[in-house]
Amino acid sequence: MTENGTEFIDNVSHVDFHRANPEIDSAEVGRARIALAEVYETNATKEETMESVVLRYGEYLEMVRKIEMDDTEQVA
Amino acid sequence: MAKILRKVLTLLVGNTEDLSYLKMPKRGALTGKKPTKRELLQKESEIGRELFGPIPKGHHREFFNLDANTWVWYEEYKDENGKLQTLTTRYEVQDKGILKAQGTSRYTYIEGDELANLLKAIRLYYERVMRNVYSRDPSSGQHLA
Repeated sequence: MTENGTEFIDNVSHVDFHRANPEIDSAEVGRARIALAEVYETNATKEETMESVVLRYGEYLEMVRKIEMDDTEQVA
Repeated sequence: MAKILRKVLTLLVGNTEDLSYLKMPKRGALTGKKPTKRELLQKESEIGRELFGPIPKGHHREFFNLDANTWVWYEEYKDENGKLQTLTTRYEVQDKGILKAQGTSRYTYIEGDELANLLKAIRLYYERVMRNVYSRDPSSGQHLA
């Protein structure tokens, strides 16, 4: 593994994710994620740190959960 | 063409008036309700707990992504005196690194092998959970066929 975590950089892209999941655009979470996607596009040519890649995985998982789950019950 | 189709359907199912049975169920309709976040996290943890190798006999382990920047490790076992021991570790992704928090007073930024192993586990977790819990392609987020 390289020091800056480039081994973890893969083709998981915010932009692709949003294209594949247009339904999230209509949710309130969508607006925040679109802003994040724009940041990602802006930073697309920059090297990502390990922390940013891990954070991205967490964000994607959180987005998918919000799409799939019954949000009337929250985790304590 | 419609008459032929109707005739074929009549031969196959006998009733062509009520075609509601052909309508695809909505997502979640088969189970009656959508899962809660807790239920999703439990499914994710079933995958997460296996990522760090075999779980010792008598131990109970959970590993899951709680939210965008928090990962949780939970380990529970009985010591030689039969006393239940539990350990909860939170890994918080921050700009400066990944902060490991145990209890109320132990906070350290992880590094070296511990950091490398955690990052590998998180990547595996993401890929397996996206495929096996959410039936989505980890690269695009699209539903798998």
